[in-house]
Amino acid sequence: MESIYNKNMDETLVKAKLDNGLNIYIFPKKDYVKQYAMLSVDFGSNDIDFIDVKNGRRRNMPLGIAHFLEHQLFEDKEESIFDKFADLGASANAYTNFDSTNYLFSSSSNFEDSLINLIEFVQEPYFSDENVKKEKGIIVQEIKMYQDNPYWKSYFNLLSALYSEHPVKNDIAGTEESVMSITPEDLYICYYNFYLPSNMDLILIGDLDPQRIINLIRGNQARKHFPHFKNPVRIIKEEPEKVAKKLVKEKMNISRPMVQIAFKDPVKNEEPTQIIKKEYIVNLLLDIVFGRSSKNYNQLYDQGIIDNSFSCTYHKKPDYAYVHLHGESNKPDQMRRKIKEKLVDIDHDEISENFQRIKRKYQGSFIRLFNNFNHLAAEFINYRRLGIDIFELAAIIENIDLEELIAYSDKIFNKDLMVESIILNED
Amino acid sequence: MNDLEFKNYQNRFNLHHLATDKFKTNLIQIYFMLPLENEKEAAMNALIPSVLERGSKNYNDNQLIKTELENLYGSNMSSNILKRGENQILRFSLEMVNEKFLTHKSNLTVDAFNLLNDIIFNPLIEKSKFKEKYFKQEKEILKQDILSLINDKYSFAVENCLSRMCKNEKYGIYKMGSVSVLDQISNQELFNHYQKIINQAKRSLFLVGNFKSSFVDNIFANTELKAGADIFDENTEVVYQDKEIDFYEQLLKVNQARLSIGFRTGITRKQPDYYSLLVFNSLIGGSTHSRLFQEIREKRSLAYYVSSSIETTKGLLLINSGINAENHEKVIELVKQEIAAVAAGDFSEEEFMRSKKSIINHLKQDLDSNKSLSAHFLLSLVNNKKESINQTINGVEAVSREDIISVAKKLKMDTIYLLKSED
Repeated sequence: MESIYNKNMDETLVKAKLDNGLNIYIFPKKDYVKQYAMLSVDFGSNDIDFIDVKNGRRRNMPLGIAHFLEHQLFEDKEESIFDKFADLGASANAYTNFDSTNYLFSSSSNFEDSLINLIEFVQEPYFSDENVKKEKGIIVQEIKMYQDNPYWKSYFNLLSALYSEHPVKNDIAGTEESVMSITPEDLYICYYNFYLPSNMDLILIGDLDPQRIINLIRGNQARKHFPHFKNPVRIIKEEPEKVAKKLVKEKMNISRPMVQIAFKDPVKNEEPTQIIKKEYIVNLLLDIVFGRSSKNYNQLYDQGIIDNSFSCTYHKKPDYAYVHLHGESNKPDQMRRKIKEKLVDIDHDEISENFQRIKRKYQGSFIRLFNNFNHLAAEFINYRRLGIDIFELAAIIENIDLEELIAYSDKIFNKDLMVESIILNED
Repeated sequence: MNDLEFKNYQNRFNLHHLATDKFKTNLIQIYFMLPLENEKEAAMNALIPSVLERGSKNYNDNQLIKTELENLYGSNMSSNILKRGENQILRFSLEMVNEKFLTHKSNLTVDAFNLLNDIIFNPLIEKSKFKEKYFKQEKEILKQDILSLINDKYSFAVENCLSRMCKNEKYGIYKMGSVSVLDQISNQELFNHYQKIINQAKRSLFLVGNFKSSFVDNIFANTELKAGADIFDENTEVVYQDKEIDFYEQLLKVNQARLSIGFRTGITRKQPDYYSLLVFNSLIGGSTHSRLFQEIREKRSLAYYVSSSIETTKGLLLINSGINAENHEKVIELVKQEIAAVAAGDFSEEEFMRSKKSIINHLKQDLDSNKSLSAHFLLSLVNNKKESINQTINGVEAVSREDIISVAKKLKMDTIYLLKSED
């Protein structure tokens, strides 16, 4: 057990790794009533192609299987998992994203029983033909719900324009067809490949006694047998540098057109700290060039081309990265033209003048992070998977240099790697 | 367990202060309450904060405001339009990090509060009106905001159900008014209305966090917020009557049909059976252990979401679900069947206890969030029944099975709304 106290933030992080490889991270929060636990599995919607740890065979899974597996683990032979938590006064939930599946609960009493419940239901799979069939109906409704969401629709259209090979182009829940094809056997294969303790992290936040909690988990895990598999090898097909499509258009019943623009940022092998630092640098840069206080944003707002539905972010992962700008506009073609114009010709003086202030904003948002348990857990695991503890972010932000922003500003907005996704009103 | 309570400063301001060092940030909120009268006033009330946020006397444009907020370590300033009962509530929120976590010395709280005050009370005036450009542009943006409801099919169904159900009541007015009345609003009229709000509307000031006593003691010297009545509701008409159920169908190209069913509960926060209603809502559709979730989703896989929610100033309950259109009769039947089962006392002791525990768990967690503490207090203040979260918990603990049965019996289904595809 290792305990790290951060004096500036007045926060402590306790870390432990069990013999079976399970990582435990605890943020003790004195005087808080809420208790929060998240069991995060390093298995997301991107992990559909891998070498089976049992027999070395290559597996190609139906799209949306990680999300389906998340739903299916809530099935038990007798009692509803939700009810088990409800009996303890805790409320359970889960979500799947591109790179992880996360099971969680929040409680204000009976934390230890709820925690054991969480570990038990994730570590005891039960997939039957009947249950799998039933879950398909629910997930198809979930997919249909997202198909009516114009932002979601145009976001995935954008990703499919950016990427021709990388699985991030696929909807997290899969398609109606892929979901209907999923079998209990598929689920068991994914389960024994990815749901190993060594492929999981447990994040706990609340007024907790870390030593006691770690002992409790250790005792629970010692009673279980896990096969000594190594973590599976994932296959991500090589992604060409160029984009798949320049433009995707679609029509929906919406109030006005929606525009999404992205710049693909081809990845190289980079150190974790470099990845995170670059993520911050480009986001700072975007804030200076197109954030709420920027000249560009306010000019285009004044001209009625964009409004506060506009936003921009840089997404950076080890295996993919892109700049993402989006908003609604009644002048979609002007919006597209103006954004392109502004981004290919960035004024270096503007970066220098605004750099310190925007950096401050990021320092403030780092402090805020510790207010909200759910947010803290999600961000913590995001950085942890890259090999960085969240406290280290403060120094990463502090050490960002103006020159680095300027250097990226000339490179990252490459017209040839730009894609657009537009949703227009139904006639 | 420590109870975090708002304390009222007994003086000419309606200052409600919750002192705690639990959070990394400090929260300041200024509220104005306006009765829902008609669509035009509703639209004017919604428009005013957006025009104010474009620029003030000392911060002429939004770029200056946003720049200053970033200088203040990314302080957040925002305004919201809320509807509680038959009132619109304008909320101006300011949240900034607590100075003690900063490595550099800073007068953050005072500076940010001055900025907020400048925006609310010192608008940029041209020819004794708002700056014409800001007025025009924000009117156009409000129009877009109202129209964009259709982009979110969940809210679209909810609002369409409520506006039909309450078509003869003030509650039927959308919180941002309507597009058709925007043309009738002139800049002069809006500015006069703004002055009326500043001078006459009910108002309140909330502080949550670890403020220096010098700040709290001098707060009255640093704001132009005038004395006035606190934000108690005196307008809402609670309608509770027997009537035939109305059924509305709206056609639109959608992948998923949306069903919204509106009920009258006749129960508001002021009444003793408010706590029973909370437990009933949890039992019927408030969570994943609820009857509707279990029956409609888990057992029959008819939906991904099915849930109920309550409005406790007006006395409404709403059930929402996303389904295949051809199943809508089946789902309505199941909803009726589940409510009838609860009314007949056909629910287990476990279900009863889960429902209570679930509410208590959520209430306790509200103690850990400055915004939840403030939202809970706002509702109790509006309903003129100030109570702490622990007092609400005590009320929930005391609810019996019979109480839930009597709430289920009281429920009156009023309106069914179905949004489905044209084909």
